[in-house]
Amino acid sequence: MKGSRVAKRYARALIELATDSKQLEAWASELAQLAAAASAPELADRLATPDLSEETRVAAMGKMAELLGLSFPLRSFAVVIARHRRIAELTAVSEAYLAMVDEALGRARATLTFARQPSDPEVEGVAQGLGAIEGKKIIPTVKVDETLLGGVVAELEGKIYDGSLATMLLEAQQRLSG
Amino acid sequence: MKRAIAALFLTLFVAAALLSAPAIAAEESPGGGSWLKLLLFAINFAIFVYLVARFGGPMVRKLFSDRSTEIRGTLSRASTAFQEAQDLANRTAARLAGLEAEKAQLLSDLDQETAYQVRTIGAAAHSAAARIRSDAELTAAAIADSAVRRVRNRLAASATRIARELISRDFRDADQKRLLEGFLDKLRQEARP
Repeated sequence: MKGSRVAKRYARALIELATDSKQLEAWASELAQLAAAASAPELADRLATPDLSEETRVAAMGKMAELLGLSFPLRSFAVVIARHRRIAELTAVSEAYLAMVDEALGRARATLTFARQPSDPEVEGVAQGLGAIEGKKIIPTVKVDETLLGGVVAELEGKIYDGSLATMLLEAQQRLSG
Repeated sequence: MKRAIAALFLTLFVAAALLSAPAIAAEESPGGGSWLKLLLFAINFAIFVYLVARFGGPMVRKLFSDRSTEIRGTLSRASTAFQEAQDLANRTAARLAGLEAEKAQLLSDLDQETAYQVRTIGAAAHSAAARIRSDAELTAAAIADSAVRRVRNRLAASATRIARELISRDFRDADQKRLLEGFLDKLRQEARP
């Protein structure tokens, strides 16, 4: 969904407006809120039903954006998305928008999976190490997976940096097996 | 032929005349005979001979001629049959000689074919035996290799399981810190141009 061409077109249009308004990050947050609300199961099914008229669907999206307290451009964007019957694409639009914002601001997002809960300096150290490789500021998402036994696994833009004890043991087993 | 027949009749005539003379003389009283009677007998006998020769001669000649012709024909047929028999015997002998040669050739061919088949079968048996031996060696080597691999896999899995259990029991913060430092060193090495 992240790579959808339609979603990228909407995201590109929105980011041009946001750049002009200097609201790149603010709109990213608002867009994420809107996508999360529209993709909630109880709401997504009702918005997708063909029994719902276009006026009602557009009005519902407008009302939802208003209740979320979104800025005027994002409320308008929600209405446009509903009118174009692209509500199901909202999550992909949000992800594409975030990726474009990161690109524009020289940032990259990494998922760091630790064997046990890390301290802030540990997360910061790993993020800096990854940032030195990519030449970007790293925004980490931290996860904990005890099956790693020890160490950390980092995923950055499709690349895996594996420093876990489980993988070391697996490599040792493979070497022993010949 | 005619001369022989005439000589025969003349001899018969003389013999009859000479042999009948003592008989006639015996019927006469001793010391007396009649040359007239002898002459009459001779004339009589000559007439008899003439009649016999006149009327029986052609039949006798024809009889002997037919018989001669028959004998000649028979002789000719016998000769022809003999010649044919001789030819047949020659052909048969030649055929027998040919059959003997053919038999010898067949025997020779059979011997050669048998020798060839024996060699071929021997070579095939040798090849099959070598292949079976090679297959058996390969199979044995594969089984041994597989067994070694299985044992090594099991040992490695057991060692890994034991190591995992030991780490789970006694893994400390200091260990995690060392791992993270090692990981950061690797990232730093990768970041170097």
